[in-house]
Amino acid sequence: MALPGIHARAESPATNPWQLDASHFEYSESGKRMNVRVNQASAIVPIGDAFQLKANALQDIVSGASPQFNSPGPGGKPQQVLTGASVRDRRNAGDIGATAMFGESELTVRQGWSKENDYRSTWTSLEMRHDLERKNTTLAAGIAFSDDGVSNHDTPDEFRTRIKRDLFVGVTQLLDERSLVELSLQYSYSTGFLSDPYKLVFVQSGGLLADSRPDRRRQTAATARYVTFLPAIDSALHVTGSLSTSNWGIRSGSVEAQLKKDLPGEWLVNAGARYYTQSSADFYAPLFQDDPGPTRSSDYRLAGFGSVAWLAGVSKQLTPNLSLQLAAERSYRRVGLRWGGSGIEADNYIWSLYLVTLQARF
Amino acid sequence: MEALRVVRWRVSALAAVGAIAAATSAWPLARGEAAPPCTAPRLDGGRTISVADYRGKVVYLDFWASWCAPCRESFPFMNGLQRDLAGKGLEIIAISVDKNEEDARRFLAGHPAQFALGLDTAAACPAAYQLPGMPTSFLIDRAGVIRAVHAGFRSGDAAEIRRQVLEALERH
Amino acid sequence: MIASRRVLLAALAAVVAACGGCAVVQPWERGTLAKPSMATVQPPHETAQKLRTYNAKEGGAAATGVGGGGCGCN
Repeated sequence: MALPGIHARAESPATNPWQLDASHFEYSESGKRMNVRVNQASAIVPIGDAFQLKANALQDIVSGASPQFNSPGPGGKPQQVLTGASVRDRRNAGDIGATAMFGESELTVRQGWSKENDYRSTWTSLEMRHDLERKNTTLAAGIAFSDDGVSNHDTPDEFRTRIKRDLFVGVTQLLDERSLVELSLQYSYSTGFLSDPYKLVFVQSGGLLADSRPDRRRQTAATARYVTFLPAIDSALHVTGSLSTSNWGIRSGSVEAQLKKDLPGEWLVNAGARYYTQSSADFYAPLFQDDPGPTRSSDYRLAGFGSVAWLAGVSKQLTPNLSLQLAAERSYRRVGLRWGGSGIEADNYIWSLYLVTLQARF
Repeated sequence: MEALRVVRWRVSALAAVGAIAAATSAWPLARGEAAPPCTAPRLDGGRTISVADYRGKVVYLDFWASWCAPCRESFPFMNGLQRDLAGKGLEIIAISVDKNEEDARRFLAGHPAQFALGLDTAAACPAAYQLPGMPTSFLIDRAGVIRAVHAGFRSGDAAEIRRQVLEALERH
Repeated sequence: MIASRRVLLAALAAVVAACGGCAVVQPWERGTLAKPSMATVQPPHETAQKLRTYNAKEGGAAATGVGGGGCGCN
C-alpha cells in the first residue's frame, strides 16, 4: 500500500489561493466482478501567505463479486470461485492536514481515518520539501504510520490489527530549461494480521484452508521519472520506471510512457501506456497438493502476472478559476506477462477506470 | 565501503553546486546598488524603452512572463499604482521575459496594462538584474539607485510596496 | 534481485553530483517547464485514485512522485 498521506505537491500556489476539488470515480472489472464508485471532495484553505489548512472526504461503494479461492476444473485446469455478487460495502474516509511554507521549505502534517463494515484505519503522515539552487533541485522526504483493524462480515466486531510504517525520499533535478529527472525511494514495513479474511486456499488432499500470510512485510521500491519537452511535436514526454521487491518474494517492475500536449483554448490532452509485471509470492500457489504449512495464499493479486494498460486524459480551463479533468485507463492483466513464479489463466481479466474532477482556484 | 563512496559523492556534489554558484555569480542585486542599464523593445508602441531615460523619476521596474501565475495579481496592483502616483513622478516599466511575443500579447489581452511595457526575449535585462525569482520588481529612486527588491508577489505585499514607493517619491 | 538499498542511495547522490553537467536554469528561463503539459503531478484526486487502484490490484509498490519543476514562481 502506498504512503497514505503523501502526494506529490502540485505546482506551489504562488499566491496561496483557495483550492476546492470534487471528483467522481468509477472502476469496473470484466466478467461480473468488482465495481467501485467513489465520490470525493477536498479543500485547501489559505491562512495568510505561509499556511494552509487541508481537508478531504470521500465515500466509496464497492459491489460485485471477487475471487474467493481456486478449484480444480475440468481437465485439472484451475478455475476461480467467486463470492456472491451484491452491494458489499460502503467506505467513508477523510483526512485533515496543515502545511507551513517558510523560505525554500514546506512541511505538511496529515491525519486520516477510514471506516467501513469490516475495515477501519487511522493514519498520520509528515512530509517535508525543500528547494535548492534557485529551485533547480527539489528534495522531498516523508514518513507515515497507519494503524488498521480488519474483520469480516460474519464477525464484524472482531478486529485483527496491523500496523504499517512508510518512508519516502526523493529528488527532482532540472537538467535544462526543458527537461527534468526525478528519483525516489520508498520503504514500507507492515506487521500484524496481513491476510485477507475472505480468501481461502484449496488443498487437493482435502478441504479449504484460510488465506494465511506472514505477519511481517518489508517492501522497497525505487522509481525514476524523466520529463522532457519535444519541440518537434510540441508535446511533453513523461517516462516513469519503477522496480520493487519484498520479503514475500514478489518482485515487480513497471514502465509508463505518456505524451502530453497543450492545445489552444487552454486544453491539455495526454495519452500513454503502462506495462507492469510481477512474480508470485513465495507462499502463493493456485492450488495446493498437501497442507501448505503456516503461510499460504491463492490470492490473484499475489500471483505472477503482468499487464498492459492504455491511459488517456483531457483537461480544460473553463474560466480563470475553474478547470475540468477527465482521466481514463484500461488494463489487460495476463498471466503470460509475469516476471516469474506461477499464476493461472483464470485470473486474467480487464479492469477500467474513469475519473472526472472539477477544480476551483481563487 | 559503500558509505564512503556515498560520502565522497555527496562532497563532490556540494563542490559542483558551489562551482556553479560562483560561475554564475548568483548573488541578487541589493538595496543601495546602482540600477544596471536595461533596454528592451517596446510592446506598446514606440521602439525601445530604457530605464536610464527615466532618471529623475521613481521607476518601478517589474519583470513578468505569460507563464507566471502571480503576475495575474501584480498587474491590477500596478495599474492602481500608476493611476494614483504617476502624477507624483512614478514610472512603472514592466518587462516580459517571454521567448515568444505571441505569449506576452495573449497575457496582456487578459490582463490589460496602463503602464509602459517591454519585451526582452534575449533575457539581457534579467541577467543584468540577476532576478532571484519570478516575478521580481525593483524600486529605483530618482538617482538611479535600487531602493527595494521584491521577489514574488503575494496579496500581502501590496501595502508594503505602496509604502516604499511613496517614501521614494518624497525624496528629491 | 534488484540492487541493494545502499547502491540506490548512491544513485540518488550521483544524480545531484552529476549535475556538475546540468545547466542551471535561471528563474526567467522556466517558460517551457511552466507549461501544463510539463507538470509532473496530476490533480490530487487522480493521483490518489490511481495509486489506490494499483495498490489494490498489484502486489508491488506503486510509484510515488516528488513534485518540483514547473514555473518555480514565488
